[in-house]
Amino acid sequence: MLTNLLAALCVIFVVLLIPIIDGFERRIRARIQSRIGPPLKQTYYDLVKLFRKELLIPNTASRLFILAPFISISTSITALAIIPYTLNNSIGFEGDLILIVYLMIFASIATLLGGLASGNPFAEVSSSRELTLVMASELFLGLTIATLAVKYGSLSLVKISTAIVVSPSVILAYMALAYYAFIKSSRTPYDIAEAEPEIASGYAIEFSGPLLAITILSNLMKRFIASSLFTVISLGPLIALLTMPIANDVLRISVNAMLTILLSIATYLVLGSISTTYGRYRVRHAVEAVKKCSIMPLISLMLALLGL
Amino acid sequence: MLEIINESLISILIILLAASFVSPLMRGAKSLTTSSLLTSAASILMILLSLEALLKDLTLTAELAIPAFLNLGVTSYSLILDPLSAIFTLILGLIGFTASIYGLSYIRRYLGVGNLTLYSFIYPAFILSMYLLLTTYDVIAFIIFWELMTITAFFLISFEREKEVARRAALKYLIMSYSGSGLIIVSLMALVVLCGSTSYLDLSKLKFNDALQYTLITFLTIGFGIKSALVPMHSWLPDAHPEAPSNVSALLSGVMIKMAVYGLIRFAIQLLSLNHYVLGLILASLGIASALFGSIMALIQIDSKKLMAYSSVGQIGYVFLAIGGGLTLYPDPLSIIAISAGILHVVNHAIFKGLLFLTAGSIIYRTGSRDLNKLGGLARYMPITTSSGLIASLAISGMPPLNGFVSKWLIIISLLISGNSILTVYAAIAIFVSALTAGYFMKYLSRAFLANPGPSIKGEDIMEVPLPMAISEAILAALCVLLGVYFQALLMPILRVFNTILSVDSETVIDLLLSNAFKLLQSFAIILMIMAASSTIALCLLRISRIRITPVWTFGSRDLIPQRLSLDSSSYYTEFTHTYSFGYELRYYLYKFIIDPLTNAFMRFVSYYNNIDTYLYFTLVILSIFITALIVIAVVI
Repeated sequence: MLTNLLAALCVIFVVLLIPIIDGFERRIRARIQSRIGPPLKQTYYDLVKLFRKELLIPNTASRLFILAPFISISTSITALAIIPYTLNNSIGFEGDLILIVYLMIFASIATLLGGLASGNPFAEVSSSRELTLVMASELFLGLTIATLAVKYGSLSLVKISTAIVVSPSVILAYMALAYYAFIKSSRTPYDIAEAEPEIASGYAIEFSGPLLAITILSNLMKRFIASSLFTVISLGPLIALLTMPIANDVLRISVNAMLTILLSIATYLVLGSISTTYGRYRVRHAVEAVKKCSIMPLISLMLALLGL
Repeated sequence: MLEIINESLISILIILLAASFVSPLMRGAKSLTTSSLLTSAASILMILLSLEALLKDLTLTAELAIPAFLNLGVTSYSLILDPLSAIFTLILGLIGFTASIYGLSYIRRYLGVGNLTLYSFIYPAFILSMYLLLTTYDVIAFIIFWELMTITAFFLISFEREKEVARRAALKYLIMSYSGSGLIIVSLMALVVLCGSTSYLDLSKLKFNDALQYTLITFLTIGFGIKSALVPMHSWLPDAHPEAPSNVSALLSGVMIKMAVYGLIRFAIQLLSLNHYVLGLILASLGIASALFGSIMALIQIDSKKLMAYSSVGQIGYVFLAIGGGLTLYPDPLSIIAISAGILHVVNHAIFKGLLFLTAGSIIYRTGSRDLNKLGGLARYMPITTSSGLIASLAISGMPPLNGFVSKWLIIISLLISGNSILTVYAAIAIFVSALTAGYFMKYLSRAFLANPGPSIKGEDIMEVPLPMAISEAILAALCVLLGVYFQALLMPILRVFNTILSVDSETVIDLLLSNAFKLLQSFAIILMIMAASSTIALCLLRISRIRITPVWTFGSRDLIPQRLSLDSSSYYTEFTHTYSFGYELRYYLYKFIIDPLTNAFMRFVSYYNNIDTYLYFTLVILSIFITALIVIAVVI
């Protein structure tokens, strides 16, 4: 019971924390580009301001336009709730990794549906780009998950994140996951679906006021989920090893949760600062880059099947 | 009570016969109404009986006395509905019911153009043939009803006879189906000769040597594979399914191609229990090839029904991947889960693909077009069709908590954690395929319902479809959600069925699955709760916030009309198809070296004799040679 409560607390904590993490990222990005950057709480200010603004609805929009951002944020929150930040068995089950993957696709699709429902042609262009990237990156992820399944014999996140397996294939799979988090975060160079200068934020073009706020929040959450997935799977075993000596269950779980969330934030920020050094890919280059990088999980799967 | 239930098996037969033979006596719309209503009544009975048999694990039987003057040599014919058939009669009932109700309005658009009397004769006969096929325990009857199904489907596909495309598609379907059923007849007749009896029960006592076993695997896989459109035997499906009237397409894609799944399970697995590993590996490989091929082909379609037809090739691939994977893993307890997941996917696919064809039909009904380049913006005029299309698309893409997710999830996890290296690679590709599915159905949603209206869409003449069509769409959409959230209702009976067929010690697996399913349900509950909460917030938001309706923003320029900026549906995924072009190159070679030569040879043969009779005689001769050969193999080696 207490562990479930802790897990729920983690979700609430993370949801509240996400705008601040974005504030950090904006600061770091500004420093890398020799700017001062906004205050840390800037994203909060933005969101609060957006919630107060008036809602513009295009005359061509259907009802889905208003509903879609909410569907998107619901799926994101659920995915956050399933990630075992506490590295404890209470919430996990066999195959929850697959559930999270589908929830992440659902979150992307729901946002796109909202954009499409606005009737704006730029949203259509953006959705075709985003789906192109989703399809390409899912091959990448499928191979990575297969590697993990072979090496751990399980698809339960808790089992994967607490078992210690050191082998070339697993390390390659970790790298692939990090790269997947990078693709999924829709930062440069993979922000082809938003691409403000080309297609004016694409799917978000007609969102305004509260709907825009929710879309932004949902996008930030998607980024965080991708980096936590990497952190939980690849750094989880280390954390579990470190906190093994703590005898008190509740204490150990809380320390686990704190460490995983901290490391997830670190991953998030590292990926964010890497992305500042890139310009945006063209659509074809983005897909080709993902395709070329698919070699990495492919090799890791082959190694895993060979027993390495 | 049980007697009444047993006798209802016969009443379904009688109602369908009445629908088939009485309604053509009337004229025009009246015959259509009678036949549709009678068929839907029979379908409801069928649903009830299958649920009775499936949930209570019963085998229902009814004897039908055959009059002596017919001189058939038998005195009675029995209808037997066991739990395995019940799974398939359930989907036949579900899709039969909705498609009949839907047809009530939809087929009216052919009034004065098509032959409505023919339709009201053939349509119930088509459903009847599948019903009888599923409820027989006799090999000869199976063959007869299989052929009846093939020929009635032929007339339904060629319903719009004035169209050259429809005629050609139907002919291609007939030729390919007959070559398939030729192989099925050969193998089944050889078995009957070997066994000396036509009953299923005697068939299961047969023992084979290796040579006969592998010949049977080849023949049955190709024979049933053609009917269920496994790559590379699929090429009739993308031509034939779009040409039929949409409610018939729903039946073809939702139910008819599943009959092959039933045939394979019944004969190859349950009765003959052929070499599980070899058969499984072949089915799984063909399955993943179909899944991948169907999906990449669906990605580039611009015709809504053709897109769905290719998607059927892809999804039936999933089913065979699961069944084949399960057989490969036999006797690992995971095999039961994989096969049951495949069968669950059969049911789910029938529901959402049926629904998708119905939505495509609704679009045709109102706009007369299935060209995705010319459609768009229908969400404003057809809310019910749009929401059911949305739910079905999300379900087929495997989005939780809809029904498609559960079966895909089970298939993927059971194959991935099995530790079999080939199946692991297949499962990785299956994850990719499900993203492709999301891709092409988003294209359908966007180009048909959401994006800017094309030139042929004039707002004033488009409105929601008539009530019968809307009701059948709503029923199937509700089922998509219901079977997603409450999936154990079907999964548990299916598990039980395959537990008895394969007799694997699966207590532990079912326990594991149960605890997993419980946790999965919890997460579904979380999703639904959060969604409900957020939609309440959305409603409140609409009340509180100031709302202004504005025109679509196109960079403030007046020259940029949204319609003109709209993305062509053929250019949706050009970057993807360009980058992953090797998939399409494979298709080129597949067609060049396998499919085209075969099709051309058949077509040349048919056109050389210029009528189909000669071809049929020819098949008969070939068949008899094959049967003799098989028996020789069985006896001599």
